[in-house]
This record gives sequence, C-alpha cells and structure tokens, in this order.
Amino acid sequence: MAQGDGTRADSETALQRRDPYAINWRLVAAVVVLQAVLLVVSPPLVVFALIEVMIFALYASALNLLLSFSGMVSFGHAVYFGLGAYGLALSITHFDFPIVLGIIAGPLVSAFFGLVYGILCVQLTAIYAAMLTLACAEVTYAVVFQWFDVTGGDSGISGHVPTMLGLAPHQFGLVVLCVVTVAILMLWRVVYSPLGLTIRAVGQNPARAAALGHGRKSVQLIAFVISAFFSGVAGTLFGIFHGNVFPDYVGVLFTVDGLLMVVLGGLYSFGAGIYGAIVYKLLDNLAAHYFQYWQLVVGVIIVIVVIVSPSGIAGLVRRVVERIGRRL
Amino acid sequence: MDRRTLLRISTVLALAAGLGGAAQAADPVKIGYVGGISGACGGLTHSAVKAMKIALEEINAAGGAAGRQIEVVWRDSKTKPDEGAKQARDLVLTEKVDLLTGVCSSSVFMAINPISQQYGVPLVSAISGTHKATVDFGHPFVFQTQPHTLMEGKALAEYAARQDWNNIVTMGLDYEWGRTTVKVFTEELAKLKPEVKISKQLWPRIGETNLTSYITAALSEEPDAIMGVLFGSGTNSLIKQGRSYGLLERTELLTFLSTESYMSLGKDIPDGVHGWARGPFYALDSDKANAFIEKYRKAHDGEYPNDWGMLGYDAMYIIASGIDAAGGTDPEKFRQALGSMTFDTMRGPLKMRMIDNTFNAPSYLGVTKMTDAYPFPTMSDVNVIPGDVTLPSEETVKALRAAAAK
Repeated sequence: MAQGDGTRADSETALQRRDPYAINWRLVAAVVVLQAVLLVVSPPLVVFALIEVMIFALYASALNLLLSFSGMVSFGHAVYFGLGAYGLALSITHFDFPIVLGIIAGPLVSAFFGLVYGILCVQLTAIYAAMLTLACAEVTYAVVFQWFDVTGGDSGISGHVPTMLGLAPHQFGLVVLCVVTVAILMLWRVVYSPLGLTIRAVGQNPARAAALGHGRKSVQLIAFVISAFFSGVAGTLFGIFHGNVFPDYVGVLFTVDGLLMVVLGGLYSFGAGIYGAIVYKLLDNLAAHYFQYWQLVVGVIIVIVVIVSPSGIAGLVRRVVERIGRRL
Repeated sequence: MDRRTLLRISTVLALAAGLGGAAQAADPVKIGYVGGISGACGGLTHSAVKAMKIALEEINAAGGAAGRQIEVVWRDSKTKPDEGAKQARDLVLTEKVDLLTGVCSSSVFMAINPISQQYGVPLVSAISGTHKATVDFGHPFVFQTQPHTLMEGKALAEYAARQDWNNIVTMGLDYEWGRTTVKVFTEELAKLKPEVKISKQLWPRIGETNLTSYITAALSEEPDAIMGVLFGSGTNSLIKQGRSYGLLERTELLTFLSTESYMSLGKDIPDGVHGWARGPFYALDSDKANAFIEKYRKAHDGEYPNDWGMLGYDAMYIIASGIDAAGGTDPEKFRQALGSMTFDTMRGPLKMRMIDNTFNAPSYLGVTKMTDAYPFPTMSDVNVIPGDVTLPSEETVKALRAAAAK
C-alpha cells in the first residue's frame, strides 16, 4: 500500500517536472500512426471523410489561434482558406506556374491578404474589428464571384490540378496527414513560444501587455498573418483534394463552419480546432444522411454541447482524462 | 465444430450465395440524384424532385428500363459544390450507382462533373444552366437536357430580332450568368439584325434591391426595349420600381420569368412584359404534358409544376429510354443510345448531338397576360425557339474546349 502511494507520488512529480508546453511526441506519434493505419485500411469513402476532417482540423486550428489566444474574432476567415485554393488555381491558370510552385503560392497568397486585411482590422478592437473582417470577406467574395474572366465566377476554376494530384485516396491522405501534422505542430510552437506568450498576453490584457512594451496592433497583426497562412495551407489542400475551386470556398458558410468547430471544440484550448473538426464533420455527414432537417439537428446538438460543456469538447475531454487519472 | 454442423453451414452459405446470384440478375438500375434540396436551389429543386418521383413511378409500373426496375438514391447537395462532390462520390463508391443526375447550380454541376469523368459514371444534368460542364470541360459521359447559357443568349437574340426593336439597353446581373448571356445576346443579335443599336449595357449587382439608378440610366437612352438578365427579386424590383417612372409605358421589357416567379410575384407582374422560360407547363399543350400536370397537381394539393419540375420529369424519361435502348447501363452504350434516338418529351421531340452531349432543348419566349385559366399571370403568344437554332456551332465548341484545356 505504502509502495503504491509512493509510485503515484513519483509519477506526479515526473508529470509536474515535465514542461507542459513541450510537444508530447509520444502522443503525436500515436495519433499519426493511428491515423495512417486508418487511412491505409479504410475504404475510400472513409478515407475521403478522414481527409476532410484533417483539412478542417488545420483550418479550425488556425482560426483558433485568433479566437482563443490573440483576442480577435474573425467573421471572414474563409477568405484565407479559399484564397489558398484560388492562389493555387490562378497561379497555374493565369501565370503558368508549375503545380509545385502553385501549391507554394496558395498559402502565400492567403498570408499576403492576411497582411493587407490584417493591417486594416487591427486598427480597431473587439466587435468593430470583427465587423471589419466581415467587410473584407464580403469584398473578397464579391470580387471572386463577379470577376468571372479571371476567377471563373460561380462555375469556378477546374482542371488546373489533377484531383488529389492523381494519387490514390489513401496516398493523398498520407500526404495530407504529413502536411497537417507539421502545420499543427508549428501552430503549437507558435502558441507556446515567447511570441505565443506575447500573443496570449495581448489577447488577455492588451493594456498590460502594452505597458510591458508589446504593442497590441503589431502582435495581433503577426497572429493574423500566421493564422491566414495556415488557413491558406488548409485551403490549398482542399483545392487539391477536390481539384477545383468555387466562390463558396471564400463564402460565409465556410466561415461559419470554422467558427462552429472552434466553439464546439472549446474556446481557449489548443485542441479546439481538432476536436471541433472531428465532431462537426461527423455530425454534418451523419445528420444529413438520416434527417431531412439536418441543419436543425446539428443546431440542437451544438446548443446542447455548449450548455452542457461551455468549455466545449476540449473541456469535456480534459475532465474525463483528469477523472481517469485520479482513479488510476 | 463437427463435420455435420460444418456441412450444414456450408449448405446454407451455398444456398445464400445462389439466392444472391439470382437476386443480382434482377437487380434494379441504381440512379444517384444529387441536387440542391436545401440551400440556394431549394426553392427550385423541390418541384423537380416531385416530378422525377412521378416519372419514376410511371416508368417502374411500365416495367422499368431494360427489364429492370429503377431505384433512385436521393441526396442533398445543400447547393454547395464540395458537398455535392462528396455526395456524388459517396453515391458512386458506396451506393454503386450506375448513373448520376440532378444538379442545380453551376458550381455544383462543375464540382460533380470531374467525378463522373473519373469513375466513368454518366451524369445527366436535368436543371443546371451552365454550358461549361458540357462544352468547355465536356467529356464523353456528361449530358445536358436543358438549354444552357449559350443557347439562351442566342434564343433571346432570335426573339429580339423578330420584334420591332432598334435601340436596346441590356441590364444583366453582374456575374457569370448575366455577363455571358448578354455577351452572346449582343453578338448573335449583331449577326441577325446588324442595324439594332445596343445603346447601353448596365450591370446591377446581385442582391441589389434599389434599381432606380439603373432604371433612369436605361430610360435616358429612350430605348425600344430593355433586355434584362435578372431573376427573382431582381425582376421584381425592376418591375415595381419601374412603375413610378412609367417604365412599361415608355419601353418594352424582356426578362427571365420562370413559373415560380409568376407564382410568387402574382399580379405584381403586369400584362405586356416579355418573358423567357425553360419549361412553362401552360405552354406545353400535349397529351403527355397534360397527363403529367394533372397527376402532379393531384399529388400536390393543386400546385402547378414549375419549369424545373417539367425539366426533371423529361430528364428521368430520357435516362430510362437511354438505358432501355442501351440494354443496360454501360456508359458508352448509353451515350451511343442517347445520340441515336429521338425522345418524345413534354417539350416535344428532342435529340442529343454527340459533340457535346447536349440536347436541342427549346427556349420559350412570350408576353405576360393575366387570364382566367390560372391564379397567376402566364405567357401568351409563346414563341418556341428550337434548340437546333440555338446550339453553338461545332467550331465554337472546339474553340472553347481548346481555351479550357490551355
């Protein structure tokens, strides 16, 4: 008995000694291996669903950097997602880029627009800044939708890149897994680096951060550009996944999807985007399959989750893990 | 497990396999429907789904196609391209459908098109108007049974050339449909009647509710007609706001008016507006059409089918006849069958040409009139512009394909 207590105390000190912000490589490896196995053994349709979840996990995680940590709200984040896909398509169709360069161009276009719109949006705070992100999104959507000589209008751009680069679904899934894993680990590094500390400080108390010499605007702008870049990575992957791009990708529905994933996943938690993407996409797929009024069903489930666990799925997971930990 | 049990199990398994084989012989033809049941297309698609279900019942009651019953798996694209693609892929891979149909918006059609190409599953579009899927990005297994944008632009020019109009102002919604239709219209009209002057081109924004500045700009040219490529609320605003400027007294107006517009706008549409439509039930006076309309109304509380319903019903019959003639669902045989037949549809006899798998579907243009026959206005003196006149030339198709492949 005494020995047992000693073991528990030892493991607790080991836990306490561990840097909570270091990447838990064992966990990452386990998740990646599990996901890779799933991708290889699952039938194509499940593979497609897994690919979609991975892409949206990255998009929602990028958005989460703003929502949970930098103290900003973006009501137009699909712009940076969609522009990744448009950057890829337009650089190939209009500038004759080879596909590899096009893939690199996608996220860079998103980051560029993140910089331009970000400069505008950080001038304001709170709801005013959020409204400005919405305005930027509306402008982008209108241009993409109407400038059809360049963007193809509502019938979009197709045929510029082979669907999934011509790879088999599980092969492309493994590519997406690699890219998304690296990108999410980079986001983790950003959040828990000195820069991330500054971003969080500005997000939590801008006045105090300013007193310490960290100007709100520049820090939020950096966070905005990083978020736009990684949203662009997700969008570029999505563009390759479908082999096309449409104005919908920069539209309000994709923005709402991202926001819902983060809220569902649990604000103020790094995993929000990942949990949110898994659950939201699952609901979205299943509910539409079995119910005519699927939107209502998804809506009700989201309301219930938010009421039962305001800290979202991340909070729920944390509580469950803690309880199991205590039992052990 | 003793040998006897093993024997029993294997007998049962063998029987089951045998029965499975027998069932396979009479397996139904499986068709996957992907359409905007919800979302932006929801208002149009509901009638198409109802109509297609009626056609399906009739076809199956008459023995199906190629001796097999037809089964349709209905899926909602939510009018989102990525969702449409996902549903189409699901239908092909898990439901193992032999053929895809449906599609409403251009983007959804364009998103499903490559899936049809990739898996070699025929896609028959019943109600999407973009020409890009069959012309620019056409492949052997994508088919279109309704007039597309290029055809409609030409039909409008044909109609305008028959009128006594020498000075026209165009007013197209500022997006692909509006721009392309106006472009084709002006080009074709210049060929048909070079003396007609297009004095101004106006491009109201989509969703714009205040059209007064466009109305005054148009009227300042004192045109003989305004050619509007507008729909729904755009047409509604133009007519309502134009009233205070005496728009309809000072000029003629031609605009897109399909059945659901007449139903929703009702008496707001005055007599004397020139409208164009794709499948106006009231103008199709054949036994086939009348029987369908009666059946549809009976099943749906006296509601009339809209244009998309008419197109959907025709599309289902075209698919079934194609499968019947091909003796099954082999994509190439299906295509050859469609290309070699004449289809007796509610819109008259239709044929498909092989270069772009497009049907010579007619366009309908006429003048609005409130009559006692219906609780909403309809078009009278309907001009049917046949598809043979409006289909783009083979050179145009080749040029557009070459540009798309670049």
